[in-house]
Amino acid sequence: MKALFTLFFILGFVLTQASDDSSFDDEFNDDEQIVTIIDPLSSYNEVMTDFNDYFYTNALEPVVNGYAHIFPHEVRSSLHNFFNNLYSPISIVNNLLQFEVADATEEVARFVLNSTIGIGGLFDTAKTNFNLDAHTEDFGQTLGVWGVGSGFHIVLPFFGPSNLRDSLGIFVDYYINPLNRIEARGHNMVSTKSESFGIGSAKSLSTASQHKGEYAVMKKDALDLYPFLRDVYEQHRNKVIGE
Amino acid sequence: MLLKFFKAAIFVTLIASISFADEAQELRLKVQGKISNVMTLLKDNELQKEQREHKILREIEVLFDYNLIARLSLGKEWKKLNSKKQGEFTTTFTKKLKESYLEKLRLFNDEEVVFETSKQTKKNRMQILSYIIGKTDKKMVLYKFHKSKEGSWLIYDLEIEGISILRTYRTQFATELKKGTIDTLLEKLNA
Repeated sequence: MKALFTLFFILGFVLTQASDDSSFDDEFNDDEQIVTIIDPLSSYNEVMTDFNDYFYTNALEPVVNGYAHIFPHEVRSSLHNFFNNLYSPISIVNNLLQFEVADATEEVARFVLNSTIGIGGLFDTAKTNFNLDAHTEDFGQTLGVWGVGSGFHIVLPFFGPSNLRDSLGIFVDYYINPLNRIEARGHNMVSTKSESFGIGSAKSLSTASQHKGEYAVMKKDALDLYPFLRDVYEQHRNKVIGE
Repeated sequence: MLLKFFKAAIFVTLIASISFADEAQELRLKVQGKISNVMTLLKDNELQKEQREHKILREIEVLFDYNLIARLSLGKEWKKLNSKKQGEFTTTFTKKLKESYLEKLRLFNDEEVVFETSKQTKKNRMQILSYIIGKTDKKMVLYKFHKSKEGSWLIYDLEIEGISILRTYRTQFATELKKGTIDTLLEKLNA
C-alpha cells in the first residue's frame, strides 16, 4: 500500500513537471509555423531590407541627430503633436469603421480640444489637462479587425516592413489624409504636390526623432535582419489589431 | 452533509482567491520596487557607466529565470543537445539577454514607468502590466512570470508593445538551426 502511494506520488510529480513544460509549448507552439511562413517575395524583401537599413543608418539617422541637436525638445514635441493632431481625423474614421464608438468620440474630443485650446495641435492639451487618451488607428488595422488576414510580407521602400493588407491600408489612409494632395479629391489643404511631399518628409523626420536610437538598439537583437524585422512587425501588428 | 461540504468548498475557494490576489499584489510591489531602484541608478551621475550597469543587473537579475528562458528559446532542439552544450548555450544566451536589456535602458531619458495591473492567468502564471511613459508616447511592457519549483515567481518572457522577446528569439533560433548547427548559432550570439 505504501509502495503504491509512493508510486502515485512520483507519477503525479512527473506528470505535473511534464505538463508544466508542455503548457509553455502551448503558449509558443505557433513558432513552427512562423519558420515555414509563406513568403513569396523573400528575395526581394531581403534586398529592400538592406536598402532601408542603409538608408536609415546613413541618411535618416544623421539628419535626425542633427535635427534633435538644433531644436530643443519642446519644439520637437510640439511639431510632433501638430502632426499627430492632423492624423486624428484618419483615426476617427478608422475607429468608426471598427465600431469603436467610444474611442472615436474620445478622438473627436481630442481633435477639437487640441485644435483650439492646444493652438492648432501644437500642445496635447487633451491628454495633459483632460486626460483623454489617443486612439490611433489605421486602415490596415481596420481590415484586420474585419477579419482580413495579413497576406504575405512586403518590405516597402523607406516605409519598412509591411504586408499585403497593411500596404492596402497605407494606400487608403494616404487617400483620406488631408495633408496629401490628391487631384481626384474635391478638397485639398495643400496646393501643390511638392508642398505635400515637403510636409510628408517633415512629418517622417518628426516621427523618427521621437524614436531616436530605437532602431539601432532593436537591430542588435537580430541574428538575421530581414526575418527578425518581419517577425517583430507582424507580432506588433497582431497586438494593435487585437486591441 | 452536502451543505457542509459546499460551505467548506466556498470557504477554501475564497481563501485561495484572496491569497492569489495577495500574491499578485506582493509580486507587483516587488517588481515595482526593483524598477524604481533601476530608475534611481540610471539617474545617478556619480556612478561610472560600468559600475552603474553592474548594479542595475544585480538589482534585476534575481527576477529572471534565465535557465528556463534558454531552454524555451530552443524549443524541441533543447533536448537534442548534450548537457555541456546546453550549459554553454545558457551562459552565452544569458549574457546576450543582459546586454540587450542594458542597451534598451541606455535609451531611457526622462521616461516614467507606471505599473497597472497584475493578474494570475493560471495556477502557476502571473502577468504584470506596465507602461513606459515618455513625453509624446507610451509603450506597453508586459512581464510574464511562472512559479518555479522552489516556489518563487520568476520572469520567463517580456512583451514590449506586443513583441515577445522569447518568441522573437525562438523563431530566430529555429530558423538558424534549420540551416546551421548549435555551433554556428553560438558563434552568431557571441558576435
